[in-house]
Amino acid sequence: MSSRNIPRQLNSQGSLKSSFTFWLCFAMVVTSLIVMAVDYNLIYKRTTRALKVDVETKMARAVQTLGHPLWLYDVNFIREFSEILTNDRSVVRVTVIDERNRNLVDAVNVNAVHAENNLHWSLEEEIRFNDRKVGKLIMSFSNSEVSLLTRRIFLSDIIILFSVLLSVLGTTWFLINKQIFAPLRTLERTFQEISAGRYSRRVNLTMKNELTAIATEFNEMVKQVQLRENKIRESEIKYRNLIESSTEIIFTTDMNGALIFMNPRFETWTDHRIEDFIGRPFTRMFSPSCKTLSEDKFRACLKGERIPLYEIEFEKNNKTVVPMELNLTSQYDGNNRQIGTLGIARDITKRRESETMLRKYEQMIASTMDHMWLIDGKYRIQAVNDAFLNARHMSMEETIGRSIAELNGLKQFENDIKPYVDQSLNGENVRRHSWAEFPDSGRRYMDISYHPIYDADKHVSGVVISERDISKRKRLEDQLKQTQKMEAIGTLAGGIAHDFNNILSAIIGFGEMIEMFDVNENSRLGTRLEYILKGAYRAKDLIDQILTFSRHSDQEKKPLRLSPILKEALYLLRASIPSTIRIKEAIDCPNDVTMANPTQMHQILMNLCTNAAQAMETGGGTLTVGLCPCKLEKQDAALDAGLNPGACIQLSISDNGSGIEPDGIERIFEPFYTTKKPGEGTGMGLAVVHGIVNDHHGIIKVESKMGEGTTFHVLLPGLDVEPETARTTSALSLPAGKGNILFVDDEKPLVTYSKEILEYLGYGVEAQTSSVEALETFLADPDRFDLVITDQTMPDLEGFDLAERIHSVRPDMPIVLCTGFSSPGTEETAAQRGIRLFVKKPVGPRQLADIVNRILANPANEENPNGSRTDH
Amino acid sequence: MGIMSSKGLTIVRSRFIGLVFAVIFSINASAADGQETTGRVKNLTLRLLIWEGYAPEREQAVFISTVRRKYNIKLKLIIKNASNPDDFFNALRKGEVEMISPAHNLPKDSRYNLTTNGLTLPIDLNHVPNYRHIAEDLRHQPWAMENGEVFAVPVLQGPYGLAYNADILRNEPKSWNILWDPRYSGRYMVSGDYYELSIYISALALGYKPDSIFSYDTIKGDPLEERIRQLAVNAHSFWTGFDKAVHFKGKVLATSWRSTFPELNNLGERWRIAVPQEGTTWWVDTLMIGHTLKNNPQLRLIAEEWINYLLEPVVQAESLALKLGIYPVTAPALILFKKKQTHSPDAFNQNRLLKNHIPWKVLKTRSRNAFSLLWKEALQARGGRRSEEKEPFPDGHEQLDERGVSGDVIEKHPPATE
Repeated sequence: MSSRNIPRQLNSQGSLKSSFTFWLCFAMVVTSLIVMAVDYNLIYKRTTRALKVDVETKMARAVQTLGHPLWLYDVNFIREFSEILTNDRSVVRVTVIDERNRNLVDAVNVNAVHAENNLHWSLEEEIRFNDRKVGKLIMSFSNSEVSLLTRRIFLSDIIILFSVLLSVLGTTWFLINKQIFAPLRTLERTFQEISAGRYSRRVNLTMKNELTAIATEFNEMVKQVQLRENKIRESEIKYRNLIESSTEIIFTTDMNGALIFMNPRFETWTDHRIEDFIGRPFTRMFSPSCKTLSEDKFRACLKGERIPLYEIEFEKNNKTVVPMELNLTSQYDGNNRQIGTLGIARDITKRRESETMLRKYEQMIASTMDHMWLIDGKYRIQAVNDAFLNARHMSMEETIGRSIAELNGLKQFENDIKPYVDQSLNGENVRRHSWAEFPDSGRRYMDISYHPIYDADKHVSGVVISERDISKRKRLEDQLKQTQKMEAIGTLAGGIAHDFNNILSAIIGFGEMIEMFDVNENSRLGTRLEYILKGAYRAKDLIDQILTFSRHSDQEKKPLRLSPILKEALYLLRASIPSTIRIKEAIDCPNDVTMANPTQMHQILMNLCTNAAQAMETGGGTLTVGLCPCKLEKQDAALDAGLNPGACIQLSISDNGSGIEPDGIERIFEPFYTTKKPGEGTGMGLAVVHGIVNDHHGIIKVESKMGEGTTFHVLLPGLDVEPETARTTSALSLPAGKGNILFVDDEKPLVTYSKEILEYLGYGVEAQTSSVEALETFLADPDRFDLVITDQTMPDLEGFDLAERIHSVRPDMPIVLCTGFSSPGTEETAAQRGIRLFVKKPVGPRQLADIVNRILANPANEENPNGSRTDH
Repeated sequence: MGIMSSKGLTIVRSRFIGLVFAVIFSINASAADGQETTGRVKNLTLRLLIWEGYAPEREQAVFISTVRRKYNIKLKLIIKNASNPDDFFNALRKGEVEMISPAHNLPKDSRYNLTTNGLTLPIDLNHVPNYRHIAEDLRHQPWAMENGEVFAVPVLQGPYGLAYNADILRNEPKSWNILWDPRYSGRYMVSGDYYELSIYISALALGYKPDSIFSYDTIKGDPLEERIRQLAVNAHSFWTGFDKAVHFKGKVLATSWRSTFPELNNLGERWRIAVPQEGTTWWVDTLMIGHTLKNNPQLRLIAEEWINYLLEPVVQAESLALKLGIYPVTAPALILFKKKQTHSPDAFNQNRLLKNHIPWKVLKTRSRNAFSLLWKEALQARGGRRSEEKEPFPDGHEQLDERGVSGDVIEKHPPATE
């Protein structure tokens, strides 16, 4: 029997104390009950007797009181008196009956009705007044009051009785407890503590009796047991600490491989309960894939073989698998007899994760396009990625362990690398952009960043350098800047040109009129006027060029073959450039059709070729003009903003002249930028070319090297259609005609000269400077006019609106719209609104005469019934 | 006891005429004042608590004018109407009135004891010379005397009579027993609050002599109780205070003060008073002077002269009896009254009533209490029968409580035979 079981057994058998307490209480309760029953009975009987006497007295008084009122039939008094009677708790009911046995009052005591278990009795007595019977009184009584009183007395008796009994019990219990129970309790408590292993405890009794001798003998016995127990415990603690504090899972098996012991670490790691595995094969702890292996190793171990460390997997309670390293060894008893095995398993999860992460990082670094290299504090390369090696055509062996200076040259190291590496070695992240030369890709613009790396002590141990090629991005940024600048300049120039156009219209118009009507051909005034007109014509050309550059000059485009134009231009150039310059034609383009204006294409060629010839003017050279097809890929189109991907035609003009200064190459397309002497050039040649190319949705590139020459490449979008045959026009003399014309323009000079010209040619002209008045004139007699010529921009009523009003009256009326400035889409709008002809200012006398003649000759617009056409 | 039909056209008309006369007399009085500017006018107020109609406005004006001429006193009469006998007692105790008009059985009723408890004053008959004209059987009666002095002077009298609808009953009822005739169960009404009157007519119907009906001990017994119970249970409805013309509609029989007959005649209802062979109980309304005039001899004299004025034959007969449908108390007035009533359809019966009337007696406490108890039990039986029938009141009227005084008229569910 274990020492721990003693108190439990004692409890189950019952203690001396509890027995004593039970029987004492039992005796007390029985005694109390008997005493109380007797007491209650006596009180009840005595009080009931007293009550009966009392109610008889009440009855007699009531009979006496009710005599006179009953005689007078004073029912109210009788009722009130009866109610007073029923206020007595012992009175249950009062009934008053008159001499004719009529029930006058029947008062009930509501409080007494509920006490039906009590004793009830009734009294009946005749009521007399002046010796005459006037009625009778019946009263019912209950001893409920007695019961209540008895219960109260009984309750107080109980309290007194129990108080006495409790004091007796308390005194008795105190004495017995002090002499017997307290020493016994001390003994019991000490036994329990010693049973629980506290051998240092001793029984100490202050009194001197038989219990003291028992305690002394017991203390001696405990002392001997404690000595043996201490030795065993020390040994056990030593080994237990060793096993339980271990971070490895330690277990032992028997000869069959069944688990005998396992340290708590197993539960901590796997969330399994050790109890579920004890007595079962130790391989149950492992995942299924390594059970067989472990069993094999176990068999080998039992045969005495030395088993090396091997990797297994534990399956946790949540079904996750933990990689472990297991060491299995044989175990022997004191007789050197094999008793089983000892297993020690170690978690290698972190080790495996580290290996996996390392492999991932390695692949990530190897796959990036950025050049990455790692150097130590002594500027020696510790690691590089594949991008680094490929860009430099080097192998790993050629780079690892070498210094940067050795690899890149001392000068570059000192100037371009070391300052930033040093800065990063001080703990800073550094980033910079720089040009760099590479064996294959040549000069590239690189985004280079330097990141410090740290050792375990948080000290900078080296620097990771990452280089990213951002050449394309740089080129796009440059192009964007240039485009924005050109657009701004174009907008400015276009605005100025528009106003100049109106000014020149008057100058040229009146000038030509004077020349035609007022001046003799060889007079001095005629000569001077000719100079004026020449200047005005030059100014008009300049304005046209500005408008061309600023893309405000809408020119009609149509599918066009470029080769004939190129040949025609070269033919014309041949006569104008020096013979020291050789012209080389390189046309190899079967499909050279593009959507273009022939005049503008001609102008591109003339401007570029003239510039090229001028570049070679002093030393001579070769002017090469090439035309070839090309295909623009999507990524290239993105780089060359303005051109859509797909088939395109490349026009190239090369010279081997002096070349363009690098500083000036970015400005060559700006208007009025020139390197020529004053008077030799306007500076608009390349600006016009740039404007035309952009207007044709093409791009222009320039390559130039000082002393070697310059090449301009013009790329235009290709077109897979057959072009129309170009129609040549010839100069016309002033054609006369007949008809009535309504001419409207808010510029009075224009109105005056146009009226004079048209009247001179035989037409009837109604000229108006107000569009509103013009409309009124027309509406007054719509059939009077054969043609309306109107300006677009006018106050109150614009040209479009005037035309719309006129057409509402006469839809067949041909209308010519003149404008000094037109935005893209104006022509389409004019066509939609039924404008016959859309003419851009300035309109000279010849052009005006031609227009009027043509329209009046064909008023029904049989040439183009769908809309307007443009006359430039 | 006094009665008044409030809505009768006759009264309205008489009030209007009275008002005109009052205005005329007021103007004359003002003129007189103007002539007597040298004298000092004294203002006095006389407060009267009387039955409605007992101080006609015309007579008030005449009397006020007389007082002004005679005593140079500007008299103001404040008239309030009583609704039940308790009003007189309460008003006297509070000192709110100088004159009251109780019925003859009340001054010595044990509930009030008006002649012995100092609430009223003896009347100096020297100031009431018309007292000698009062019918002999009404003069110096015990119910009006105390220690040889007269405290109550009769002014009007009348029956608690049996009325019948002459359009339905071709023959005049000869006995109170007709109220217990099953044919008329649920077709009659009686007073709900004058319980002793129901006992009187029940006793008369049982054949008791008129002298014995005022004592409980002479009439008590099962027959009386059964009669009373049947009277209450079979009644169509009860009126309280005064019977009014509207109450008679659709009834065959009723008990009545008869004051409603002038109005009923005007409405075209042919109700007549019957003269039961057993006799008809009778009331005499008196005037008494309150203790508030004990120290005011001037106003006490005027009060006594007001009594005297009301005993004038013309006032008795024309302004009071004929207007109210009741009887005067003085012999000259009775002669004049009979003369004026010659052409009345009820003239014959009215004279018979005078000869066959049973004046009320002052009840002893035992008898009054016993009568009250019997009537309450009868009304309870009526309520119990109604609950046994478990039929709702078709007209939605309130059910009668045990005192039977819940309203002017308590409608009863008509019997199935109707």
